[in-house]
Amino acid sequence: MKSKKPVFDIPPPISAAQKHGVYPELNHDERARMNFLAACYRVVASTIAPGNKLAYETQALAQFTQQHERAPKTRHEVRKLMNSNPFHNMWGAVRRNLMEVRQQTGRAIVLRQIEELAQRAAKLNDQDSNLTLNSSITIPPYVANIDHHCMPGSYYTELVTGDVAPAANYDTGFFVTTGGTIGGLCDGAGLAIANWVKTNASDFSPKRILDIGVAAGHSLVPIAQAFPDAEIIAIDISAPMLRYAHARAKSLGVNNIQFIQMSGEDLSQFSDSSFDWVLSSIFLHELSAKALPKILKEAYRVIKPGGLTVHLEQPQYDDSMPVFEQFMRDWDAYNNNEPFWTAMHSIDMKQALIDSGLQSENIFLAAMRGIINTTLFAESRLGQEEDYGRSAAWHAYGAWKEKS
Amino acid sequence: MKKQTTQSPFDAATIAKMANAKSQGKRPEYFSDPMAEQHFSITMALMAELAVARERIDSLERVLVSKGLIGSNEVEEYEPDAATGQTRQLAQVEYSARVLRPLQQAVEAMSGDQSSMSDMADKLSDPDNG
Repeated sequence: MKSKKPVFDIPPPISAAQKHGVYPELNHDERARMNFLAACYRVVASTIAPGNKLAYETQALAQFTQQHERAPKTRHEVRKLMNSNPFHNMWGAVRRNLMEVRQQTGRAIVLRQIEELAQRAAKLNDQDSNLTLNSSITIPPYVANIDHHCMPGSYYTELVTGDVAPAANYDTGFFVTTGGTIGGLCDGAGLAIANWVKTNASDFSPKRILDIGVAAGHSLVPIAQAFPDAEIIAIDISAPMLRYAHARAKSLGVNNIQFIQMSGEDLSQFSDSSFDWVLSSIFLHELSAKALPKILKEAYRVIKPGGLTVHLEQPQYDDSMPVFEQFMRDWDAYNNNEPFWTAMHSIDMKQALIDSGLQSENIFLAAMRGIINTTLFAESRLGQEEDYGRSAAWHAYGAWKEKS
Repeated sequence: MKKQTTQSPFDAATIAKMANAKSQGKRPEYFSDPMAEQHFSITMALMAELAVARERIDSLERVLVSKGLIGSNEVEEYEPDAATGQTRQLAQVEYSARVLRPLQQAVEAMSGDQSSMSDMADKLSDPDNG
């Protein structure tokens, strides 16, 4: 009998996403629109995206070499070259438009039920001491001036009292843009971090954990579940994200996270050496060169001697990574409104951690792959086509703080 | 037909416009001709909408067939009453707003800050200016 396995795995429909107490209602056509996006992203990644490398190797490279008598040396040279390549531009136009359709779809869903969502969140959050907002917070320029992922109004804009719409939009689209590869709750990154700690530091039992830039809590909830006795503090600058994250976590039965509206640049509310573990998940690339070292220094200050820091990100660019791959990984910086991505991924993270106060010999790099619930998805789709910078394969940059 | 949740201070036509909003900054260019750019974006939006329509028709046919309810010519001969006709026209307005999103965004792009992500990348890379 012939195998019926398709040439690439079919992404699950949005109905496979796991619901929770603040998950928005999606009507038939909204679900169909999301299903189209998931399917189209997969077709583009599997069938069309590989053409970029072919276009580079068979068209653009010869053109560059003829002109310069050498191959491109940097990702920026590759970008300038490929920006005039018709195939690459067509692929880029498709991807940019899919992201714009994704935003349109998500916003239409949440805007029509914006007050209902705010009320559902308020009911779950009512009088709960685990949610502390600070309306006088200053939104930093790297958030205020950039609508990350082409998301109008970014993470923090509030249109109604108690708004959670930016987070609800982010949440529904996350399952679609990841094609289900990080799970029904989009928690594969958090599961990977928790699993790594349990496996590689089995004696480590953190009592107090800080997550910087928690967003909707996709990564933190599985960590809170893995360490149920820990007191966890999660900070973010966005009130809508925190309201949603708290309500979402609570409705999923997770009550050991305190959500506080605060910038990672200023942790002065926390005393020195007050956390066993400080982490961030897929967060550093949305900062700036000014903010990143400040956050790492503050993180170092609040970690206890012998404590752990882990920052999960896509792999850094280094000399061993071909410039073409660096260029492809950089695409989202310029085309999906994540402009710090390019500078962040070329920072020497080891040096950045040393500069924050950590000792060179205590710093580690760990490769982590997304973990998904295999009861929901028959088989892991991970490790198939390389969709530069968009697959569930991360690097954790971390360190143990010296024991004093 | 199950009524969907609509608890919003914004009416449906306003939501259709708001959902289309352009993100901050200058949009990257993929084609040498701005009109080709918009034409392509409209095509992509139509691609999405056709997929949605096909899925809806598929749902409908499956339900009808499963219940043994479908008459051979009923859909072909259907004509809406006045109120239904009006409701369907509102859906048409929302639909056109979605498909014409790139043109709406082109209008929005003609005012406000249009810093490119390259400018932002330079700015955010500067430790004294991020």
